Amino acid sequence: MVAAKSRLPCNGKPSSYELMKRENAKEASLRTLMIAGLNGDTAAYRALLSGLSGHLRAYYRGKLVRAGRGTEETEDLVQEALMAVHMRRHTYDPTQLLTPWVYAIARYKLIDHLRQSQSTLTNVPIEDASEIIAADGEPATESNLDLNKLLARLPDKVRLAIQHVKIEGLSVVEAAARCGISESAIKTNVHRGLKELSAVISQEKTK
Amino acid sequence: MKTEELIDRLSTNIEPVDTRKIVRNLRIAT
Repeated sequence: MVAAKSRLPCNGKPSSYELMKRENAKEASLRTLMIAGLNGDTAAYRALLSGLSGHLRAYYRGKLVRAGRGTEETEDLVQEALMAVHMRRHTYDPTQLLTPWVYAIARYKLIDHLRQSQSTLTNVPIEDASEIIAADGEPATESNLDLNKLLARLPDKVRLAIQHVKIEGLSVVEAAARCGISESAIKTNVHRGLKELSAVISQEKTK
Repeated sequence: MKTEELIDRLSTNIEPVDTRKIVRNLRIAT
């Protein structure tokens, strides 16, 4: 009893080590379900989608609030992301982590949703709105490709730190838990990654 | 449609995905 109490942090909140253990366990469990689903296991695949829907709901609620939007759009986004995961499941590499792959899809869906529902479009005739959205989507896709190319030049640890903190918007604690490294290592990797990206971009400009 | 219904639909009669085939194709492409 005493030993159990001594493992609890003073403020009653789980420690970053505890959070990291939980995140790693979640990742392992979801990845196992995904791999079973890819092998045709219907029950595992249903369990995976149910599990992901909970994570996605929490993710979108937070993001929509931060974007100053109502949370009533959450369920639409969850469904769009689940469909995208389903349609692209053949592109998942089972040797890689699952959650960064899912969150990358979720983030693209959020950006698309916010772009398509921006308030300026409410004054545009419906016939024109689709053209504006389509035209707006091209540079965004190119930017994503450029960003992916730049990120691919970074070492894995650095790239993941940038991806989690700067692209997916996770906190340093969450990113540390997901990568299985310390918070200070995440901060160092983000700093190092941004410096390297900045140097690469400067070199590209001078070419 | 509710999310639970969507999950039921997506997870009904799913076919196995040959990920090794994709890896092979990627290797050939690169």
